[in-house]
Amino acid sequence: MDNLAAGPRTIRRWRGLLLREIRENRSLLLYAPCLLVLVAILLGMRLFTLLTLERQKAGLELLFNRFEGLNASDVAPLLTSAGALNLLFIIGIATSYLASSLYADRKEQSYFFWQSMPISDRSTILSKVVTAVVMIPGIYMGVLTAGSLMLIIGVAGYSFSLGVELNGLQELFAAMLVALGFIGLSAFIAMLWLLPAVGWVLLFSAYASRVPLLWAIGVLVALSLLEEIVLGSNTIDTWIASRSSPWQYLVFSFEDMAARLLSYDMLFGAALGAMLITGATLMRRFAD
Amino acid sequence: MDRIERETSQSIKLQRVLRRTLLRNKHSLFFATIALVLCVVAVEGKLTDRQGRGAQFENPFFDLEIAPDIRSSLR
Repeated sequence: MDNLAAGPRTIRRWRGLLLREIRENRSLLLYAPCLLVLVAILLGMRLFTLLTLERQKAGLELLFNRFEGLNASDVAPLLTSAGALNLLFIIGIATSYLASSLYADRKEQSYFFWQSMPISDRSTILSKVVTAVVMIPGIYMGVLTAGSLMLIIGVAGYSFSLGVELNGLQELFAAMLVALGFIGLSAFIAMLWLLPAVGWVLLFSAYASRVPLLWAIGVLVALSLLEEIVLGSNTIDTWIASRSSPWQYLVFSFEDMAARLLSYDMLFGAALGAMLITGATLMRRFAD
Repeated sequence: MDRIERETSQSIKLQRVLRRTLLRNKHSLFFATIALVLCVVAVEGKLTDRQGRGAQFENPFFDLEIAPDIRSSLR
């Protein structure tokens, strides 16, 4: 009977933990993606309006005619590559969130309140990891999808008002949806791929008494330099290089997901991230 | 029963040792975590002869093959 009640109770607790993260980091998790997408759309519109009306019309005709008759999955990789910049925004938001998450708890002393609640340190830290790996890409992709839909409707309406034939609109729309799916999966894979970085930043967020992100970057650079000078090797540099190429986590096909998720590099990175996250969890027992 | 008692006492002893050493304060825990991670990275790097692939723009999961008719229409 207890086991039956434990399931919904765990779900309720996790929902509460994740909602707490959204409420406490509303500006970073909700407003920042909205502003970034809005600024990108406005910038694109501003650049487009710099063209003369004839060139605008020619450009829109070119856009719709090129997509006419094309298969969405064939052209989606091109749109995905163009949208890869969004991954940088997602990683930037996640890094900023992780660096401030445990540090802000200690600084505002809300840490003592949460320690008095019947929630383990492990659950608290895991909720922050889930927020960074799943929630931030998910929220960002929701905002990006809404922005893209509004943009394509706006472009179609404007083209129609200029008398441009919307021949390839259906194909363009399908390619955009597939590309958004690729970008969303890329963001999720990227966060899993960067799990050691997630753990590293969390460890410094739990440890540093000031500017945790600068400490996290500074110590990594110092260790790399020290290794080069003392040992004459570059293991840390090699490790960073093997994790930093976006080509390792850009998704252009839905078929190889199992191979990606269960690849040796992914699993080893997850194990290393788990060590660092365990260190951050144990660090919670020491109050400043 | 003896086995369970022995294992429990060993576990308690290990916890005590950990509390006196690695878990004594946040600094010792921090340095122990970083040392452990660096050791694992170094050993794994040696065993697998890891090479940095950051500058080569490789994606083993991706091979873009555009059909000739689509390629010509994209030009």
